[in-house]
Amino acid sequence: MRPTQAIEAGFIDPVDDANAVFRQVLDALAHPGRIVEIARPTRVPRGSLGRAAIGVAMALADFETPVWLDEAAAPAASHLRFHCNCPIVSKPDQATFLLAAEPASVPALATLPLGSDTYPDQGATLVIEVQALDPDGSLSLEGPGIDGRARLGVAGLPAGFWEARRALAALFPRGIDLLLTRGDLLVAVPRTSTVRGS
Amino acid sequence: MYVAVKGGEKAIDAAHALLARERRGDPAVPALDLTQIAQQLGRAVDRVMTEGSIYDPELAALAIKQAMGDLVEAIFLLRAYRTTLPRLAASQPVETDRGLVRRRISAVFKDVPGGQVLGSTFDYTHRLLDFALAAGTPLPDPVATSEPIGAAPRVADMLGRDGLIEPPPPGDAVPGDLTRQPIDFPADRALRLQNLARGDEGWLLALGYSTQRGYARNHPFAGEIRIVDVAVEIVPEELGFPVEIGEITVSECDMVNQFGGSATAAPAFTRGYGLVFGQSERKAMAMALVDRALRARELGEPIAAPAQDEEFVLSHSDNVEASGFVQHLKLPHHVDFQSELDLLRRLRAEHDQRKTAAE
Amino acid sequence: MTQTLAGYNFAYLDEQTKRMIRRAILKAVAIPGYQVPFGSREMPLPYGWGTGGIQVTASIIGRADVLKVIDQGADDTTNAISIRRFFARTAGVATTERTVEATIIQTRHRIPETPLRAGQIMVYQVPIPEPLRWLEPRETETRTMHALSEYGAMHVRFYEDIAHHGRITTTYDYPVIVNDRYLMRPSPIPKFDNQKLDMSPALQLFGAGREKRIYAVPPFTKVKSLDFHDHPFSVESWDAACSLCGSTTSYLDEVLTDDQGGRMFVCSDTDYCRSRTS
Repeated sequence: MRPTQAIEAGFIDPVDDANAVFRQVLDALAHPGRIVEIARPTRVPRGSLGRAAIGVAMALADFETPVWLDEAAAPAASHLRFHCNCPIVSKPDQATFLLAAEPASVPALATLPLGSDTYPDQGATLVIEVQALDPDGSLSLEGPGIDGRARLGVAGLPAGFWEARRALAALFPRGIDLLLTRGDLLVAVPRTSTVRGS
Repeated sequence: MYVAVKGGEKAIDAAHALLARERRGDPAVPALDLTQIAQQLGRAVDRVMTEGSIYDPELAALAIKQAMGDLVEAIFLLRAYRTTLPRLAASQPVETDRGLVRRRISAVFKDVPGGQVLGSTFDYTHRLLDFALAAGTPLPDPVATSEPIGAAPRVADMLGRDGLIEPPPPGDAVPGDLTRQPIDFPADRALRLQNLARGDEGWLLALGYSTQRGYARNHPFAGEIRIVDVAVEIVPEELGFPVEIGEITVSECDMVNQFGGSATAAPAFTRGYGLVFGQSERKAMAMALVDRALRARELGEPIAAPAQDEEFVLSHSDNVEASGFVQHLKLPHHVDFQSELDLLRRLRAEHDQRKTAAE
Repeated sequence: MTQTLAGYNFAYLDEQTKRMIRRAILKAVAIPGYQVPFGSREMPLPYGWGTGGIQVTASIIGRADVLKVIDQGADDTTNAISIRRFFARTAGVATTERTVEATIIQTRHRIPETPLRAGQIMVYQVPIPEPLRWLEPRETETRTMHALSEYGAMHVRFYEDIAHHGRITTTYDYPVIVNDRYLMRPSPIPKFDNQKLDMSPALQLFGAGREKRIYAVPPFTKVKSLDFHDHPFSVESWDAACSLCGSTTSYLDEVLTDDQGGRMFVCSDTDYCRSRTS
């Protein structure tokens, strides 16, 4: 079945663009709190997801990884289905990647796939498009990947978000790995990062 | 003065050149062509296709030639090539009761519908080296091969009609794919059979043999061994009905084993199954024995013998993995050995001190 | 884009396989020391010869990377040459023998003496990823032991060593605890190198192809070698210095010079040694 609306082009160079996005995400995840810039793909579909969020999905999702989109991100569905061949699922607890363009629509974190103690890698990756990312904000991060302490500012997350995430820490190694995006920018907060402040 | 191990690049190039020359042998002797290998070393080709997991006699012949007849090396070559191929479709299950039966033996009935078909086999040859073959024996006159059997129902199905053998497992589940996902234990039967089909023939033969000698005895009868040309079909999404894409030869073995049964289920024979490419009935039979042994868990039998231990059997069946890891010991290990030397010298010094102190 | 080896994708692996491995790498980084199962592919090099490391490198490497490959600390050992050539052929990337120039360093059995820097990625070739494997051969059991952080058996094993030999007799592939949680095999590096794992500014990735596992130590992550209060972790030391560069702090290879007991010692890290003599 062909999608009815026009599909934007995907990666210009599928090999190099996917590699470039992956390396930026890897760098971000290896340095929680570090804001990286995702410069591909050139075009992004309609909807509220920025280039970084779309780039993550295009570089990492495929037929093996169900993707959940919130309502605001839904216009990207046909684009992702076409370019990634990924199943789009309506139930968040079935997704490998969750992409939310509206932070308030993120389901309760504890209801998302957290993996198991024997297979914690099955915990989901949650991508949230936020209003702003600031390298010098009120959050303080500690943990693997961070030399001492990192600071980060995130605008637009619903009240109580960080408390809910802190509650997951006791479940480690189960957990969710967070990628926060704003346009071309991306910051990672893996499950091992201890985040103070709000 | 010390000369570091240098010139590695040159050494590797020289080794490759030497290998190529040895492979060719005396240039005065005609080179083997792939058709000769595919036609005259068919059993080797069949084994390489089976354990290499590609049905392609030409490629297998090339691998055998390139590997100078080292079949495990040839299997490795095919596997490494296979990984790079795109996956275009998944076939329908092949129907082994349809197609040209080349050979068909049942050890459990004197005669069966469709008949016993001896086919081409080493079975009743006297193993006398045929020196005439060395000189080039003239080809025997064409033999009247048995007529293709229109309908040759499988012996296990006929037993099943009376409920004497357990029903075949339901076939509706989409099987996993151990070439895409690492195997996880306990593994279901589809994954176990995939692993065994790719597994080393020698490993399966030894394990199957061990079950016959009392390590997981399960009283097997060769219900049926058939070698048959079957059609391979796919269902293209845009068509919605099966289309034949080719024909392959397979060897299939149904072992009929001693009864299961419980308070709720009437006693019935149990199954062991083997299926391989080409004519490799030794492997198909061994596979069926090991398959049956590995069903111990689901049949509620005690797991006591090596052939019943699925993690043990499945983790060590792959000769490409095994060959690589055994032979990696020839790579330099001098850094770790230095660590061990350092420790051993300390331990010996301490031992001497203790001994001296005690005297 | 031009392809370096006709008929094959950049860095050999197809994009779908790379994506699957990349996902595994990201989860490995998110859960330091945990072994992520992955659909390891058959590579054109034998299992046990670095197929895990090669798959990791092939999945991360980009055209701008500079690759260094070492085996036993040296760039010119045959297997290191073979792997370096593989990437030169399939990816056409720049290669180097200089630790400081490399962005990706694939290694078997050593960590370079030159301190790693931020932004570098170490890729370790791993033969057996499971630290509990010699104590418990079953994956089903060891997986549960990791889930429960039940590592007492390893301490018992070390304790028995001490009771029998007076010291811990593990000299390489010496088990570590990562981020106070997962027991991890650092791959068969001599324990001399264990200290370099701790709080390294570089990202460290571990690939086990035959065993189909990937794991990671992110930068600035605590990596503690297992020990006891009364038997603290200690490393190899030599009375000799390197015969070539005079180093007394690097890991030395012992070289037999005759059959009369003659021997000399030289740096195992050939780049480090050369940089001190030139």
